[in-house]
Amino acid sequence: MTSVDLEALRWFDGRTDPLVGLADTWPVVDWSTERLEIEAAYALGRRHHFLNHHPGLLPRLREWQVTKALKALLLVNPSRTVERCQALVFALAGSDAPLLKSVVRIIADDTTRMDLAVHCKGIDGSQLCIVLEVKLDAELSDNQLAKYHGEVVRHYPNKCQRYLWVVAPRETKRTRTILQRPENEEWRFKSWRALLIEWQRALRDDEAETEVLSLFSEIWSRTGGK
Amino acid sequence: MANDVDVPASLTAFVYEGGIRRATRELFDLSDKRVLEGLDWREIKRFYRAQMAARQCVSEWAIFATDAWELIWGGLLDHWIALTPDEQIGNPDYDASLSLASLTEPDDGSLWFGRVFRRGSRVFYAAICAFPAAGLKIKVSCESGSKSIKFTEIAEGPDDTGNWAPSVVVPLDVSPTDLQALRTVAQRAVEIADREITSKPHREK
Repeated sequence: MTSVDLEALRWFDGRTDPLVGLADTWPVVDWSTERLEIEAAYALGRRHHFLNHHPGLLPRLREWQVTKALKALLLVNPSRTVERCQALVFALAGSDAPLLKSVVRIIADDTTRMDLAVHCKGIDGSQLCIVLEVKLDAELSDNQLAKYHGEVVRHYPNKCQRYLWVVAPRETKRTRTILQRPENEEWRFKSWRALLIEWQRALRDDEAETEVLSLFSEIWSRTGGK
Repeated sequence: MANDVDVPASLTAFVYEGGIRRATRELFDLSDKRVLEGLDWREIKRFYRAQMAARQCVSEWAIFATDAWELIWGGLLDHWIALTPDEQIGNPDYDASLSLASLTEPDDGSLWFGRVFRRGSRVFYAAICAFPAAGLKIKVSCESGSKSIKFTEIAEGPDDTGNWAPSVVVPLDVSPTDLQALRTVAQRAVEIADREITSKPHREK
């Protein structure tokens, strides 16, 4: 339980009065308890976390580099591909996330120009497609989301097969306007900040997952994180 | 010992735990509403508690810094004229983020607290700085117009801010910690500045 340092507040209020002394007491907030709130907010309570990793060693990343790196991260350890994709989907969709059985293929920045597309199978055998439209600095262009939606619909005709996300540093006014258009109703927004923290939270806390630390740390810094 | 100072646990965590440091810097930046993104209403209370902890962390640095500064630099610059907080913070020539400990901190996550002194046209900046993963050091500069005194006897060279940081570092993961080594190098810094000024006097304002 914390309590406010009323003496300090009274001093501040009465500081023009030279007779009011400054009490030498200060906040009685118990740091060892309060730090747990920071840890919980950022999922820090694990052995390995990207925020404990050294930030900012790479030069300024471009969007295509981030998407290629994310694809590589999902595929580099085949025994962890499904798990990492599942963690990504949990981070994006929370309790609405489908449960994955296998990953068929992952495409990054291909001829369709979609940034990242994870083609997979759900545990019920359904074919699923998770698409990320990744932004670092640039805004969405007018028709790109509708175009990508059209591409995905061709191969995944049912709405429940499609999970479409825009990931950007923040939801700008332009992003909100575009997402509110009827043709874009299936697209959702997630900030990089929220995605990285939740994705980290959903990953196993073991040595194999230290592979993600560098990339997450770089993306965090690149997208405005401290 | 005379130059011992207690180190708050929050400062130890900020300096040596990257996760706590980066999260605290995020939470402390109230201008950045992104920290609220992705929360649902059940999580808002936790966010506010985390923010309170972050503000406590930075405030405890400020309180520690005022005591530590006094133990390291106190009395060494009595023959200079000390600027008041208003003069120092209000002057556009001085970077407020390097002056008032609890306001903000530079991009590398270091924490600063420094005071400005004048002697004629010369300006002496006496600071302490908590470096991530390292500990406490002093930072110093002394300028007169475009001319800067070189503190090569005690430090390798000026940093990006034009300040000199001797390599002497005091750990912040023990409490209390002994600041004598920093006071010794601070004394040397003042001697170097005074010697330079005495040997090259120029028109005082």
